[in-house]
Amino acid sequence: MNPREVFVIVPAYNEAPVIEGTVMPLWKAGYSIVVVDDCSSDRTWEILAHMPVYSLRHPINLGQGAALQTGMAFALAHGAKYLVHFDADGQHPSDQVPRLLEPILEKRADVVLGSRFLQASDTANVPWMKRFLLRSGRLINYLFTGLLLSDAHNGFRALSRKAAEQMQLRENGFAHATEIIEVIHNCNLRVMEVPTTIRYTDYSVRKGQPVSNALNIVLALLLRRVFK
Amino acid sequence: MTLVQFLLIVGLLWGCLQLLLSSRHYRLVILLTGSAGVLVVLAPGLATTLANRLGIGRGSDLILYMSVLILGMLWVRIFKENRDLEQNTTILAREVAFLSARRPSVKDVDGILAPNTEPTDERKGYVDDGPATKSWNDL
Repeated sequence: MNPREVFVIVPAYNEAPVIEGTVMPLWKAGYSIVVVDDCSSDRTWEILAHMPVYSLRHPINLGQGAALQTGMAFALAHGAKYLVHFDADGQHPSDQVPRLLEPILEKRADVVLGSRFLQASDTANVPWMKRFLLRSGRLINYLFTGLLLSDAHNGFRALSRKAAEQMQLRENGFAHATEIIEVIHNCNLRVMEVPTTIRYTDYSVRKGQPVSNALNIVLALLLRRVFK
Repeated sequence: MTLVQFLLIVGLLWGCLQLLLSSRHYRLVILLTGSAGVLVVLAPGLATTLANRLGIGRGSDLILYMSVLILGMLWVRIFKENRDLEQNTTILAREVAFLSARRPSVKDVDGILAPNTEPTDERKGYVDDGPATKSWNDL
């Protein structure tokens, strides 16, 4: 596999302090990188100008789901064979990308999802409130999608080109994580979970979704059911 | 006709006219609702008679229930329109993002990021050569 055929998509919103630290290890590994700046109000866009990445900027803030969709469409148009979703706040270790890609390269899966609940040591890292919410979230995902996965909302994913072509995310906000599982289920894509570590730094916890967002996500999913 | 009736009818007609002029949808619904309103104002007993027939009791209750129903339908309608609008905005924003996409600052022959090309001193080798794509059609 040529690492340049792997397009790592990094949705970024006000990530100026960390974006370089997140992206450069990926670049050193040889991947093509697409950073989608979701109309940050800080210096993210200026910093990206001097980095060896494809950078796109939404003229208005749309949400993480929309940024991922923009990145995926761009990557597909630029010949991506494998796509990786990667959070900009530096919570995913770049050296675990090959681990996610492996099942796709071996044609055992179309989509590989990172999970922080497959290894006891990873699970122990998760703050208890998050752990509780994510545990409930997986049941909600199951109700909506029919797929029971160990981690409800993990932003670390790998997709084959074929799988990415099926994704037309309409959930601009954080509900896209469930929408992706829905697409996997509806399109009969082969899915696998792989243990990944999440680094909960002060920064990533502060930038992450507030716990109260869980309710918004469930509401968005319900409304999505009503208004297709 | 009392003064109150006159004012109510003028208000109703004005409201209906505004709705009819501003919206191309649901003209029939607006007309029917408006006419029913005028009828009820002109014949105050009508609502109660109708309510009794339907087993509701008071005419004002019937009007209240109908209003809640219509408002609910309106809310759903507005929500859906809002969602469609959001979708359109997203498509538009995405298109703008594609138009202003920037290529990696270091390029190789394919125009794709050259890995292992370590930036020399403080990224001196990086050049920003404008948009990566001219239009969506080029993609």
